Amino acid sequence: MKRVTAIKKTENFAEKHILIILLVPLLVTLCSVLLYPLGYSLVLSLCKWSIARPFLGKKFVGISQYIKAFKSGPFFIAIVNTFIFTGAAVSIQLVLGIGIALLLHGDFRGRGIFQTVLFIPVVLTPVGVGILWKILLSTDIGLFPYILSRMGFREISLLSNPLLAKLCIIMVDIWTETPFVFIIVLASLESLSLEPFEAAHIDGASRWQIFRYITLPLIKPLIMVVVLIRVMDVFRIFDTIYIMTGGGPGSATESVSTHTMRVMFQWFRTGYASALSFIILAIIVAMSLVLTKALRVEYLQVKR
Amino acid sequence: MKSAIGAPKSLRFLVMGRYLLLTILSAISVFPIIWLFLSSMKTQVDLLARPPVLFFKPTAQYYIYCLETGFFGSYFVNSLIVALFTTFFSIIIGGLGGYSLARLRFCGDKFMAFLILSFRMLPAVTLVIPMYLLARKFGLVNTKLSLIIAYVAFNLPFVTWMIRNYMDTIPVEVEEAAMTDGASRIYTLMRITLPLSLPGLFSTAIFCFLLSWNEFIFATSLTSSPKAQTFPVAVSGFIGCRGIAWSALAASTCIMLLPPLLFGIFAQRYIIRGFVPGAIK
Repeated sequence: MKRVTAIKKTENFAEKHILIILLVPLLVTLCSVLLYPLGYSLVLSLCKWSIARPFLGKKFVGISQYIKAFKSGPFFIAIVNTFIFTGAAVSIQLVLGIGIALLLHGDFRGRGIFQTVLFIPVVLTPVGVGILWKILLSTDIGLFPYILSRMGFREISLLSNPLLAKLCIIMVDIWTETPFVFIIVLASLESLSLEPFEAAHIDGASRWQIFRYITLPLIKPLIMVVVLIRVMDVFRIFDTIYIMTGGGPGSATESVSTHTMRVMFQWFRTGYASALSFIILAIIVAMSLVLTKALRVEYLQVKR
Repeated sequence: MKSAIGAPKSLRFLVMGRYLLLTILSAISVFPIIWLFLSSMKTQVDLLARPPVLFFKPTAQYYIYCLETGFFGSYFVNSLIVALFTTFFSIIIGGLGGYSLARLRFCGDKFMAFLILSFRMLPAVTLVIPMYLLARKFGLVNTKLSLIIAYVAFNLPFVTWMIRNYMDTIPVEVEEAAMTDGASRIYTLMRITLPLSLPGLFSTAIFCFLLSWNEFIFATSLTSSPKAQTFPVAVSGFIGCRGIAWSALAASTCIMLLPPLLFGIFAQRYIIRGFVPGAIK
């Protein structure tokens, strides 16, 4: 009798705690390849170190790197640029995405094909997207500068003019990521039940009233999540800028990410680069906290 | 009845002109890609011609160039290997963790929030810098392993979140029923939960593969030679300070965009599931 109980006990231990055991690989991996490097970088941000001149060693300098960042002109320009990109791109994507979702909503012939075609830009490699727009926009072989010159404008590279380059970057992000917005809005629209709409229709509400007072409020939660996600994504933009303009002309399209990468891999100022990267993180965290409060976003939708 | 029922009246003519609008939008969506492809088939002379030629004799010479110079050999294979291994490890680790978090309600939620946030909020740069330095420290610079580690690290939160959401849709009752019938927890996992979660895991795997294939910033920082460089990095190499090899650039980009394009067309359903945050199906 005793032996049977003993065997049962060991079984129960593994069984009872299997959920925790399953969690272990995840925790171990996250700690070692995510938290440890981040911690390492954080400590590094408090040091002055140049890997191009390793003989100078690492010097602990406290938060002076952060202070330097706040005084840095180039970094400030990068921040301003990034905010411009984020604000413009996200707001336009949002409107466009909702519009497209409305267009695709419902059953009609060819809907699947349209949806697939409109969906494609979002899965493409950002480097590839940068390249295909570079081919269209730059003077050497670009189609658009040629068309513009035919329309009477001076033939300029759309990517060599500070303002136009910014617009191009914004436009490319809109081209690429609007599908993300419309897919989510579309899914949201399709999950709505018909009753409120039928009731409103019976009550004689106009289409616009229905849209404004019923549809929009119902899909608002998801739209807020989308806005939050997109803001955090656009702020970290790197690949397309790197390929299309390299941050230029001058620093017209320099984003916080491209600037930090430059500091790290061109100027090799490691400690300073670390500090910059954490400032970017802090800005994103702050933005999402503000947006979450302002937009009343729910992170987890618990279906219980 | 369902057709555009939530749309405002002013959009009604849009609904009728719906096909027109959708066609225009589709053209905008697809034109750059078609132009890329056309450009890749032009000779350098045709490509640089002013006005841009619309009718030209196509040539596949730049694709052949890519094949001949071992472009396919190293870079494509590197991208493939890294993507497959990243997906493999991410699914396993994230799968186990995701299941656990789905079932462990009381402490799972807070941790989940942390995971979601960390994926969306963490700038790649912030992880690239220490990854590069640590790779140097451990002698892993310019190895595929370093890329796999970096990708798993960066994507794991998201993968775990995706899988947790799928696991959420598998009712606990099914597992409980099996266990009441005498199955052990492990048996239930393997024989019941796993098969039920396969569509979700498949969806996550596709997403993970795409993330890895499309990745650039880690790849360009951690690798320096064809030994470990991935396709996007190689393609970006055609943009040099001395000039741009447009034709080769176009051809190689076409090749690079092929897998995502194919996934986008044929596996759209699965990819979309990765976009929509959990609650909406």
